[in-house]
Amino acid sequence: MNLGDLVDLEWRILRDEERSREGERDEIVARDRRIGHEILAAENLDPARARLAIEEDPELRRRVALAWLDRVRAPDERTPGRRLWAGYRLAGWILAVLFLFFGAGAARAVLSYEGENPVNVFYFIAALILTQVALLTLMILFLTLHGLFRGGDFLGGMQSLIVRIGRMRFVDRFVGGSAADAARAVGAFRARHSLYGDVERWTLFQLTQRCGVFFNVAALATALWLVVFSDLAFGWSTTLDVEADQVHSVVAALAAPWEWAAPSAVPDADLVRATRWVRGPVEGHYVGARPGVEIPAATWWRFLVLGLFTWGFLPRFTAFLVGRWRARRALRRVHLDHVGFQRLFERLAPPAAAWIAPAPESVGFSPPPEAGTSAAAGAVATAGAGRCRVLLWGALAGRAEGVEDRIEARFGWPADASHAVGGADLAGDDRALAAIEAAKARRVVLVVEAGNQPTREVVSLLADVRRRTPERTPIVVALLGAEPDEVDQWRHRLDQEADPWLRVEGLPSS
Amino acid sequence: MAPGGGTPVVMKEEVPVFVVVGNVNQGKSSVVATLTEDESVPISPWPGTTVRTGDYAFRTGERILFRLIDTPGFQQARRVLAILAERSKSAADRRAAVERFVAENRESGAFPDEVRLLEPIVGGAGILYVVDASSRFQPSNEAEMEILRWTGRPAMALLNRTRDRDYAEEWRPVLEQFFNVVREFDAHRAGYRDRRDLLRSFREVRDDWRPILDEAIAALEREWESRRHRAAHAIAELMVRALSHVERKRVTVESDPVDLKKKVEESFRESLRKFESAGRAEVERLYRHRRTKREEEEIRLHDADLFSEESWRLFGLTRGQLVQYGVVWGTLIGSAIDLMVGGLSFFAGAAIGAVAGGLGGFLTGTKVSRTWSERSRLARVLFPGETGRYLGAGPVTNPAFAWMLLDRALVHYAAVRDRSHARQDPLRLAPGDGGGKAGVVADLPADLRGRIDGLFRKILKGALKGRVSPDLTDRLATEVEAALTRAGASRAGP
Repeated sequence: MNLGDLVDLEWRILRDEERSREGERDEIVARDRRIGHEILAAENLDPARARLAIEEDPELRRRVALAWLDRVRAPDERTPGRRLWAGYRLAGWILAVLFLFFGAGAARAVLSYEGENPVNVFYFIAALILTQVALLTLMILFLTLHGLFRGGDFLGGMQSLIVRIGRMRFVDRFVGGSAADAARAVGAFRARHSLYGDVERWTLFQLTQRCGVFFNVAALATALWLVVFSDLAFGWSTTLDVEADQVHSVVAALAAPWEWAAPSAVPDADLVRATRWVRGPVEGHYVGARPGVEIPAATWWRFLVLGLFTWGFLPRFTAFLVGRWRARRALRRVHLDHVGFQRLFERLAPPAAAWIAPAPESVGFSPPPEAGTSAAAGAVATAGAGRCRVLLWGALAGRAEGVEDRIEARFGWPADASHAVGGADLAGDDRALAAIEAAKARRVVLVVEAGNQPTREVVSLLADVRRRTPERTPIVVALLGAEPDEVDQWRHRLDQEADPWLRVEGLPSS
Repeated sequence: MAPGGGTPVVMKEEVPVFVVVGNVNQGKSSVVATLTEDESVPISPWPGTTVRTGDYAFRTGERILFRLIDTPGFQQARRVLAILAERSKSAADRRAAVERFVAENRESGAFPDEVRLLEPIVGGAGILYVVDASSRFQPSNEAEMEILRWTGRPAMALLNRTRDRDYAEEWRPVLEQFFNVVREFDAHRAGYRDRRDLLRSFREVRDDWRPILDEAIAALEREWESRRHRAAHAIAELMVRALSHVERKRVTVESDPVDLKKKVEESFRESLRKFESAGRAEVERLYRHRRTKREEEEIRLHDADLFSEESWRLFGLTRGQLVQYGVVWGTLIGSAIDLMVGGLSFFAGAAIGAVAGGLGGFLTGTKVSRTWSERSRLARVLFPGETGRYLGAGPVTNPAFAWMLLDRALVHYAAVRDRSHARQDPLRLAPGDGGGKAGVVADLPADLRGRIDGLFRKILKGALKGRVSPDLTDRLATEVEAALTRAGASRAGP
């Protein structure tokens, strides 16, 4: 799965939700039921247990989601995700070519030698080595203190640029599609920023580091080309009051990483002293050179090339590899369990229709030995995982007969226990929350009768439930006997809480 | 001491104020919009639309008679009641506990909705508690009513409905424990009578408010009559304009007669549409439905029997007018000849001149217009008017068409008059009944129909002659007002 696939998944889910609201729900459900059958057969999953298995296994969720996407997305369909991915790759290549030119141009500029004044190694060191050291330091500082580790939107501008590139006409020739769809898909994706932030950030991080890699590759290649195919002379020159020994200390510090392996690439103090260049009224000369003694230029160019390699190329390449690894890891860790995916998996693997029967012994019936399974074997879910805690809001607690059955039929979750909340006694809410926390409830269903409103009290209770349950616990607000527009009203209000695992569904009253 | 001695009379300056409260999305703002006839009250299906209080005043002239305050709904009633219960030891300090709660939380922002709705109540306002009878009674509702009871303010309850579910029988015994007055009031269906009756109920909430509320109700009834009177005039004007309208299009050598006729009729229909639209807008403005969108079937012309003639105008004059001018000029010229012969012709010159001038105006005008006016600048300067041949449509000649127009106007009037200002759907009018006297007008008494019919015929006759007497509009307005009084709510539509 790549970033484009993730965007397409979000986009498809968003579109299906819109189409459902516009009256195409039956068609979508039928389509996904059919696809679900195919996928479950391919995965060799028991339909009765598929739903639970999908909820519990992230890797299975990923395979099912991608299999669904493959079936709803035509091979040649120009989807927003594909456009985005194409835009990203195209942007990557464009930037790579640009930075190749920049690198070559920079190296060419700082190694320019016409035969009069030698190449001033200070230029090279300042422009291509020290600058990159400074950038590297800043990047590490930034990563450590803020930015990528804690989130933040500093790469949002880069992402917008990629979307714009993806909308360009010549990209359409590769993948194409509607610009409006692309914008909406990216919008849907960014709405899940809290879930996909890592994927976005590390994907863009590796793109930017690749630019640095290409820059340094071009600079190195250009430097080597000039060394091999032209005759360069090197020196150092400055107006500042700097002694050769001071310059030698800086040079030695920069050369520290490779000194042990390539001592011939480290200019010694004599060379530094000998290669100070001063301009004269007619022509310049080396200040410290001894008459008749040749100055070895090779040491300087080896130092410069190794310096660029060590302080320029290597860190960028390492950062690029780290970014790539982190992006892939973030993709692998995407849970695909927010509300949109919950609804999708419900359609792909709905609760199996079955009679929910009491255990035979509870009605005084002893089955013959050969009966094997109990009457409850047809039940949708096994004990333990897959169960839920039910909260009954307000006066519903006093007339909740059959509600738990309806929850199980609708969601496939048998109820462990039900608790009354929203009643006259505020302490009842606290007791219910404590019970949920103690039970480490994996799923919570708040049942509210039609006509009730999503007041601050209700929203506050849901926030308390969220705080007291494990992360990513699905919380469903089930509106009993509500009309479709009432469900919409609740969704409209609760969407403002931006909780990816909180959803609102209707529950039939009979 | 009052003038003339006796018991001093204390003038009550206090204006009745009612605060509309309840849980969110119960229809409070719809009740306010309906009572105040204000479509601009923010109403939406999303709960929590009202976030601040809205103050609506009923006034006559410069004097405010009573006020209505719309509030955000209760959202944390149970918690608020729990806090109040902690602070109050007995019934004696409950009101003070509420006042302290409001004062403490005004700045803190902890219970913004409850503070906003309780503030005017602790300031002395009466309570209008609105519940949605299509939802079941909940413990949070009981907490709301208990809080309101603690304020000790006069209160009444309204059973509104936002959906087809009905739990009114579950609510009544509960509401009657907390409120002396409990009324049903469907904000989306309430008409004038329902609004007036509700205002009358307000009088029961507090005795010393009765005089001023009676004054308000009387003012409301006067305003209602005034609107009806002005609406009748608007409808009468619409009728006269529509029935006397004539549409003309010029006939040229290249004109296709069939196509031209269609164009003329379409122009006529468009003009009628504009007259109706203007009339409708005026009635809607009178009843404060300025934002309402209207859906009405197109007017049908096939019953109009539009008088259609191919006419022509010369120098801006009709043939009849040319004949008149011919007669006048002929008489003058003939008279001049009589004078020249010293009266021996015994005015035969004047008589012959009149006849010759009239015949000349009738017979020769067309040729003159073609040969002279179209080419001659002098003629255009001397006689700056339209010339040439025209195809005309109108005026209407069939009285049944007039009845159809009136029927549409009465249907519209009844729908607008009884439409709640809380509604946001378009105003859909019942399809036109076509010609004849079917529809609302069929329910009018025979004598009234007779008088209106007579006026229609006079208007149509005058229109044919090119002149409708101005007093017909006023007379028609009087009869239409009688018809409006009788137009029942049952024919008003949804």
